[in-house]
Amino acid sequence: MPTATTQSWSTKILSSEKELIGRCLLTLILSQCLTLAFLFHSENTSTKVILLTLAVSTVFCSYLLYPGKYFDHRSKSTINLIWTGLLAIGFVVLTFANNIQINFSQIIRLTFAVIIFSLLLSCLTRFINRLSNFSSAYSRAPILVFLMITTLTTAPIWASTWIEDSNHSPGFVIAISPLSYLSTMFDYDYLRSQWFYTHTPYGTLRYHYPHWVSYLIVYLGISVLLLIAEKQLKFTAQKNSRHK
Amino acid sequence: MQRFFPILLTVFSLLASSPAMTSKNEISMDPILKKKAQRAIDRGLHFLREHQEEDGSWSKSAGITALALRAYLESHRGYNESDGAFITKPLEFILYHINRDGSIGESNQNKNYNTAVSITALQATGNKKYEATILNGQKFLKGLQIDEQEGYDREHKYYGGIGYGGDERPDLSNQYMALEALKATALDKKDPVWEKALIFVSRSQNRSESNDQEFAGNDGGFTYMPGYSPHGDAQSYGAMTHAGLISLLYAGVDKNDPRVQSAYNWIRSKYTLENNPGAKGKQGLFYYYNAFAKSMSAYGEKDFTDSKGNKHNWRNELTEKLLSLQDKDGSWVNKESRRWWEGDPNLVTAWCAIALNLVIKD
Repeated sequence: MPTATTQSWSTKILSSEKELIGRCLLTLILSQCLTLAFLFHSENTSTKVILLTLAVSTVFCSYLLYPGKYFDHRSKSTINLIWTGLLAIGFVVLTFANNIQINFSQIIRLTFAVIIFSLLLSCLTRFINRLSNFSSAYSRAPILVFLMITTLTTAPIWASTWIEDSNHSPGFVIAISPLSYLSTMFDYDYLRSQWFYTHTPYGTLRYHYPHWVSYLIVYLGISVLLLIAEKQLKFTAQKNSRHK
Repeated sequence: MQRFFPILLTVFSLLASSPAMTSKNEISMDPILKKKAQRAIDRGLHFLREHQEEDGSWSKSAGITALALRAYLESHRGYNESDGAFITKPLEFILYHINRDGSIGESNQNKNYNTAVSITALQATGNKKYEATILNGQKFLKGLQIDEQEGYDREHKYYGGIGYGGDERPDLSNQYMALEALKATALDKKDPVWEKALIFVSRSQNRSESNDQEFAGNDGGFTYMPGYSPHGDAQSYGAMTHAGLISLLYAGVDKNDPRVQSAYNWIRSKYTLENNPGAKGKQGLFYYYNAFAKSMSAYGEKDFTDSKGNKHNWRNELTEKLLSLQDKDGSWVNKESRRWWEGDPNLVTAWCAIALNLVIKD
């Protein structure tokens, strides 16, 4: 006989299934649509451009449609695991559906990178929520996270004039961009792709991307740190409220 | 005697103005300048030797190492592997960076460039033990060419082009580097890579008679890639026009072909060594000098007349220019623009030494 607790837990998981699968499918469909829309306006339709666009779109859509807040804390980790698994499988399926012919190990690496990046965004949102005590119903954290990530992603674009005019190495600006993080997973030198070569000076300068392993460690490390910091803040807040 | 004097004078003046006499007077490089060029090369090579890393490389780059090595191997000193570690260690560095796919390089960037200059340097050693590496490098470079395998048909503007190797976006600069390497390593002239390459090369030329793209202008010069120049629109510029001329000649196009003649006429009309004509500021200046020496050497005319009717001994003029730009320590560097890595004295010194090696070679 299952206990009342396990019964409610499994019931919640089952009732969440539809929501989860629906959101995951929507994420993948939206990612595919965004990729197609981008490619429609792009001259360069190389497999690596398609893959990078797909990865960025998937991270973006999975963040928008992340189902976390719909579930209570007890089932959250399980939901996260299922969501991550579905997303990973879906992403691999999408790459094959787009007939992207690259090394399978690179696809696996990129899938890991997409999942870890999504995890980082989720941890960052939770941390900002905790730090600023935003109301969970009307939290501004996703907007802040979105702005932060967009700023970092586009750093090689908005910092390009400064990089060219100064004698600074472009290494830091390139390293902080999540585009570099995703590109290194499949050895793609995106800064020498047509658009970046035409609109930024990096293609003509000397630079190096960080190694993909170090990137994964850093992204995962930041996620874990944010998670620990968020728990610590929560613990402190609870302690303070008990004292009051 | 007085009757014969005007006849003798006429005969003499006719002989003096004949092509044979003209070439004898003007083709050979000024011997004093030649000596100066040799000294400049020696000083450049001395600079390179002083700036060689412990592992034998220059700037920790396989590409720059290969270029510096080539500068040594092709120099008038005739350096070779028996001369010591300063030649053998860079070779080891290059060989250490051979990848499974046949490419050579320390990273996934500039795979085409690094592989091309590396196999050219290996070929310059004349050592047969590098044959397999060179063949694998050739295979890799040929594999980078955009064609049906990547899903592009002949109508696509990228068709036949070769890019950096990290993306499918080709450009004439990378194309010329690859073709130079394939030519230097004696790739079969009947290999389809040449014919496909010519399609892309023709589409990078502003010559509507041989370029089927809408943006094609008509000045005969070359642009960076079909429809794009880093110096604005699809503008022709010096470095790429020389790269285009080299590509045409290496791909087996006859010197009298209208495409070659159009490019040559562009060079004649824009001739200058003060800057890279058509480029912004001093961008790509030393790349231009390097390509200039190669294209003039490949074209095979010892002197040429610009469109204003002025005759130029390009060897003398390029030598004088490079001598004026050499630093006291023997290096060359672009002090006004670091684009295309021209802020790295190791790279620029290697380029200039290679150019001067060609200049003094008769």
